[in-house]
Amino acid sequence: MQFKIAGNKKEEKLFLAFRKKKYLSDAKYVDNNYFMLQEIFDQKLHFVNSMEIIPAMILLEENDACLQSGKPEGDLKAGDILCEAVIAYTKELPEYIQICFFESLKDCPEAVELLVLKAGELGKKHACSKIVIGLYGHVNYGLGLLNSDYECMNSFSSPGNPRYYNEYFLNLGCETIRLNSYYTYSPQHHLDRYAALIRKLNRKYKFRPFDKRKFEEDSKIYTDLNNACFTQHKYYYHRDYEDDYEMLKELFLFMKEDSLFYAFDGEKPVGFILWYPDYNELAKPGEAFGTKHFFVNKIKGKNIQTAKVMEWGVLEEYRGVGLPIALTDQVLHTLSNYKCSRIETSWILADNDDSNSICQAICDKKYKEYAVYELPIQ
Amino acid sequence: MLEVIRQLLEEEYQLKDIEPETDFKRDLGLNSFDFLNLICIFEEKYNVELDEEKYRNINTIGELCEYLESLA
Repeated sequence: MQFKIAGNKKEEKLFLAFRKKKYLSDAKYVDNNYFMLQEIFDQKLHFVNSMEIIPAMILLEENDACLQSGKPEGDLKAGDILCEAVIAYTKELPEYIQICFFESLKDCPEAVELLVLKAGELGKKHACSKIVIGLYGHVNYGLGLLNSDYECMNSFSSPGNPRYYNEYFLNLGCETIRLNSYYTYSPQHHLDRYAALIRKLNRKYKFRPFDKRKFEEDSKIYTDLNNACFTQHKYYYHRDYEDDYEMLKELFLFMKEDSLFYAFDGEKPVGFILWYPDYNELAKPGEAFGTKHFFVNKIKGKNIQTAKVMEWGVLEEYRGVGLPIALTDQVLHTLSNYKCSRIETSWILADNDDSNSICQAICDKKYKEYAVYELPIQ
Repeated sequence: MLEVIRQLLEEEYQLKDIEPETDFKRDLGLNSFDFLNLICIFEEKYNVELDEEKYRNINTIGELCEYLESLA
């Protein structure tokens, strides 16, 4: 097997083609990262400017034993990709070398082991102490591998992958960091229980949606709140204004202004909530989400049934007053303009007691599980 | 004060057998938002504003009664 860095346009195309074929043949999940990877390769994303990015592939070689053994299955030949990932490093998260956007064929643990070994070697050069698998460069773009409910299609921006991805990393002795999401069919029923609390919070705080006319200013509020609210988060690291301006610009191609709400104490921003319709309902399993779906959203977006609550944050000095309940109430009022009747949350770290307690209060049940893997660099 | 709290908990959450040592979370299964909501109901009903710093760390019915009685 050969470790190969996709170092030119042709090889980057091969890297992208591998995951495209993988999603199409699995026909279970929507690829929400294809477009982002294209932008990374085209050096269009500001947030990767401060990162070292290495698109890595493990290729089959002529004399590999697996060519004779018939595993992995399929019509394989020398030079074919067995597994791939973007290996990434940022000084903002100096402890870790990241294995992002991992994809692999089945039954090739040796290839995955070689990929992890090479990531470890790159990590050593940067004095990293651990490899982290399942972080997408920054938590704002995603975290975790799917670790349950493999038969269900993924919601927008959630990972979808087969079970054997997890088995690869478990068999390498990785530590598992657990995450989970929540689901509710009857969000209003849950919030009705907190009517008095919501009335009080609506008297004490002001809430308003994002204002596209003041895009730069409102985008800065988002960045400042993120940087202030998530300082204790295991994988969060500082974002600059341009990072989030760029991310929100792309999200607002699909989202409306009422997908991002801010809470104010007087004039001071103290909290936010970000949600959007589950745009993956516009796609078919196996598709890469992209330009086509921008137009599909224009026509069919109003029929989306599930709202996805991506994140909320409250400044530390305002925690304990129940603001996430009032922010969720703002979202529910907004949902009356949509056909969304159900809510799925994004991933929440299993040890994040605050966020889990909020979800337990306003959701019906725990939903999907996700896993991040860590491996010490020897 | 204990009677006032008993009445509130029965009206809002249909909870009975409330004693001073009853713990909101452990014995009644109320989460922190239920507790905050109960405080808000009390504030609305009796037209008072309670001090968040004082009620933040209350765990039992008895502690809540003690705090409310101290406000008289």
